[in-house]
Amino acid sequence: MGYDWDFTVFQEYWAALLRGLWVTIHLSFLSSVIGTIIGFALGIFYRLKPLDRLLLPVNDVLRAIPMLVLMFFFYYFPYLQILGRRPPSAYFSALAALTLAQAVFTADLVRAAVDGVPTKTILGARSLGLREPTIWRYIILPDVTRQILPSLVAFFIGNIKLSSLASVIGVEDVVFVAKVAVGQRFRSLEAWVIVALVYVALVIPLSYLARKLEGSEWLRRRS
Amino acid sequence: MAEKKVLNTRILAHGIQKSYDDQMVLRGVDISVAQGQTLAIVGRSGCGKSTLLRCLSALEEPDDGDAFLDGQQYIESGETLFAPWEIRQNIVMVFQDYNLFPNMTGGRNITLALEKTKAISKAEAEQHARSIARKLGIEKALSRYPNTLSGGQAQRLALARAMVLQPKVLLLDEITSALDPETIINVVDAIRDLRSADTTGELTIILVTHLLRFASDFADRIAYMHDGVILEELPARDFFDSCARPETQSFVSAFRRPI
Repeated sequence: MGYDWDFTVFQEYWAALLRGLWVTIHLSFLSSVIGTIIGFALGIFYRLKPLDRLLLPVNDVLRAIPMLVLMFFFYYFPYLQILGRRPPSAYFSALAALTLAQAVFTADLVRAAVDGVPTKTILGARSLGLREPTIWRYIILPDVTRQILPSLVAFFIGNIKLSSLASVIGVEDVVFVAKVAVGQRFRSLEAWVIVALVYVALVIPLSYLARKLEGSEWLRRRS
Repeated sequence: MAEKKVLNTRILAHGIQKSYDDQMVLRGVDISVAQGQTLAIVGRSGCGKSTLLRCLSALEEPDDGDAFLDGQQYIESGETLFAPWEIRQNIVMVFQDYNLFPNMTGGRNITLALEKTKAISKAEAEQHARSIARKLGIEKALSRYPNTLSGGQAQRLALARAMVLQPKVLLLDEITSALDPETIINVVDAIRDLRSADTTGELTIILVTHLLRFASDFADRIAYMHDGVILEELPARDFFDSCARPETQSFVSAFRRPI
């Protein structure tokens, strides 16, 4: 008994795999960055009364929807019938779903972290005659960033992995290429080992970064 | 007859009232401090001293009362007449817990408000910061972050950050209360240094303190606050011997009695 490993059958798929890797990278990178920026804005927006009462439940609902369902929603939405325009590509649908999820998660983190900024630091800033926009820019947002950065890195890692779901709606990422290769070469184990290694290689540096961050002096510069 | 210099009233407050929920913390406080003078407010914990300073610097809005800065009214019947940040251009407060910006170096703690409120260049602000740091002996703190500073250095930095703005009125809220005895001496010296660094002779200080000896040494007048009102106010050098109210006498005698 014993399994006869054979990776050679995938030789002709390397180029496709690299293209898939590139799709995985920019899909997860773009959604993380754009989603974080939108999330910061939303989180600050949610602080405005009475908007918070209106928007927070929406935020909670959106956070509850699984990623695959979000992707289906953006992909299968009847764009032509309702909006009178052509549906977006599978890639764009997946990007929208990942970005939306990143945005609503970040918004919730930011909203809570603003409450966590020490009152005395803000009082200190006010007592010097600084105006509120200046206080937000120089005191509140830097502190919020320190509070939520470790969680954001965890989200980025999550996005890399969640982006694999995009293959279901036809985005040609690493997983999509592997599915095609398996279908043609029937070497399932080898294919998924390769895919797993690709994800490990993408995620490990970020995990390392997260660990570095935990112990960083910079992160502790809050009262 | 000796010539007497007439001092202009710098800050004047009348009938300041403030309640939290149903608790009345200030029951009509009157104070008046002349230009260049120091008023020390003493009294038991919870008598409303800190609340008064917060009301004067528009960090809190009083329920009632009037306040004037150089004759210009800025609180009318409890209503603040200017944007709070405008008031705080002239009335700057320093806190017990320093309230420094933890994400910035000591130098940046000093220059931020200077740059933003006085509209001066970064280079100029840094020059001011170095100069005030030298006067207060905290040059080394300029490049360090607040979490690496000792309590004494942190409080000196907080003083420097306030003083560099050249406020008309400096409010010091129990700034020695979080410190050990040796550091208290250090900070008290810093306040004295501030006084001598004020070349205009116009800096007006209101300080809330538990250090009666420092108050009588440093301040021009001492006000004793009790249960939300100022019971009596005397020239500092007479305070120990001339205070007349039984509450004040009991407070003063506690400082005389060895523990």
